[in-house]
Amino acid sequence: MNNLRKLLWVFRKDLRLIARDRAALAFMVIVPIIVILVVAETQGGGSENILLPVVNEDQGPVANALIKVFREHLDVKEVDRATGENLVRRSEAAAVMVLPGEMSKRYLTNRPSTIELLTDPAQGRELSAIKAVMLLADRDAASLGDPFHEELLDMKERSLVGDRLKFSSLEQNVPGFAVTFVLLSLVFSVAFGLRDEEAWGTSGRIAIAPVAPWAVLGGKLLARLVMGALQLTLLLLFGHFMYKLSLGHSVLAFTLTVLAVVSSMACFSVIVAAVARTREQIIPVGLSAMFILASIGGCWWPFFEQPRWMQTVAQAAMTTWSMSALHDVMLRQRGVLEVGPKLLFLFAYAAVCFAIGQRLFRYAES
Amino acid sequence: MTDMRRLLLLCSLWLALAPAAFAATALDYTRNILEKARAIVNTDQDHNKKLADLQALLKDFLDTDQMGRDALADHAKQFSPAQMTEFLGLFRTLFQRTYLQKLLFFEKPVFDYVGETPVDGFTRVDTTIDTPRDQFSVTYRMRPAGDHWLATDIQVEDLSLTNNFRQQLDRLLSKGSAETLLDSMRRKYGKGAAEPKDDEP
Repeated sequence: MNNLRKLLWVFRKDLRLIARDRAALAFMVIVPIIVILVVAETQGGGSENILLPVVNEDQGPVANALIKVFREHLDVKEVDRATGENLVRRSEAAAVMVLPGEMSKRYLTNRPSTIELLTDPAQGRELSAIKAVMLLADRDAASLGDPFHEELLDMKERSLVGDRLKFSSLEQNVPGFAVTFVLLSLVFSVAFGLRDEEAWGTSGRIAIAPVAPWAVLGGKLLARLVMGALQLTLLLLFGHFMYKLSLGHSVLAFTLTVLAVVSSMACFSVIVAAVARTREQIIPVGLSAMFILASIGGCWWPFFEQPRWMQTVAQAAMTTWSMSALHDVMLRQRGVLEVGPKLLFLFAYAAVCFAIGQRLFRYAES
Repeated sequence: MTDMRRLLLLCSLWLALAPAAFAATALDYTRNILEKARAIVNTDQDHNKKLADLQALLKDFLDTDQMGRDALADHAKQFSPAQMTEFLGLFRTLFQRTYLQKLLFFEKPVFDYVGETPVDGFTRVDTTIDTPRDQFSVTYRMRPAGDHWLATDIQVEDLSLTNNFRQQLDRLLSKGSAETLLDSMRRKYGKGAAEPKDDEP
């Protein structure tokens, strides 16, 4: 009985301690709601968000009928050939479709035509959705007009960005999951690492040491950056040896991309540490940041599945740029010069996050 | 019945039959049918309704029995009378759908009537379907049938639909029997076969 009463005292004391950190309590409820809203919204998109540039060299009734069917499922944009190819090369579209001249005349006189599909195989899921719609359109156009199943529309596929026409889903998913786990590790290790200084009492000593705060923070982050880069490299190597994941043609581009990706995430983690002012707040804040960034950045599902507005918002997330740079190097086999602008953006992102984080971060007064 | 009533009845009958009576030439008759077809295609009705209206319209325009026999050519011998009757019924649906699907590709068809020429006991009616960028020639081989005309073949550009079916049927009947062909046609065009969807072009 005596012990039971003591248990209740301990329970009351701990409950009061937890309730004292109002921000942590708020984060516990508000943050999961935000995450659920974001994740639910990311699933709100669909194939109608996929851009399909079409080069209509036919301008005839069959091309118009095909385009009409495509428009019901995809975001079709009629363009000239050069514009269409540029959209694919810049990764803004998964494929450009070329409807050849005289296609209508050939189709109506039962002669086959070849439709060209110039692709970016790195956008595998978008491409699959486009092909599914093409099959549907072909079936719609052909099933009754061509009663004995003669194939009148043939498709020739050619990659505009590399040698391969197709990547496995593993090749597309492994980088996404690797980025997610590295982000998770960095957010928590940086945030907990900095808050641990308070628990150990070393924060006070750091505050009076003859060294600039940015140098202390920079040194700590550099260690995390090295660990994060090693972790990401090992995960991608695992994918390479286990699932034949392509790592690209350029070792330099690969190394710089890993460093740029990890730098941006490590420096962003300082902002998380600054926002979460107690250990209790780190878990909800860190998890929410990780969930939101990984989901909108295309780490878990294709970018196009998100609504347009979210795709725009996602341009501000380093995960979006990280995934894009990794796909460029690994799947599109691009070199340093080609992926350079994205890497510069990621390094700049890291610098800005470091500056903001360093300005915001404060050790709690002991 | 008074003379006045008789006169009124005759006038009504004359008015009712006037369009057919005025379709004296193959070209006029074709124009009459195609303009009605154009009006149906231009409506905002769904695809299936358009198809049904067009099928009803073309019933008195396409001589699908003659086309079916022409398409079978020497293979007609493989068919029993009952099979032939069934084949011609199914072929009517097949031909109408093939022709109409081609027609329905044109969202707002503009027909141009070039002229008519007598050829080998038939009358050839030349028409075109004009699009902003292109022109598609469609030629009808017509024969008189009472007070109207029937198309015994349609040629789209250089493709005769009857000849095209002849080649396809020849290929199928060289490999399989009449019953096999009827089976596949029944599945696709017989009662209970899947109807086309509304969104099909």
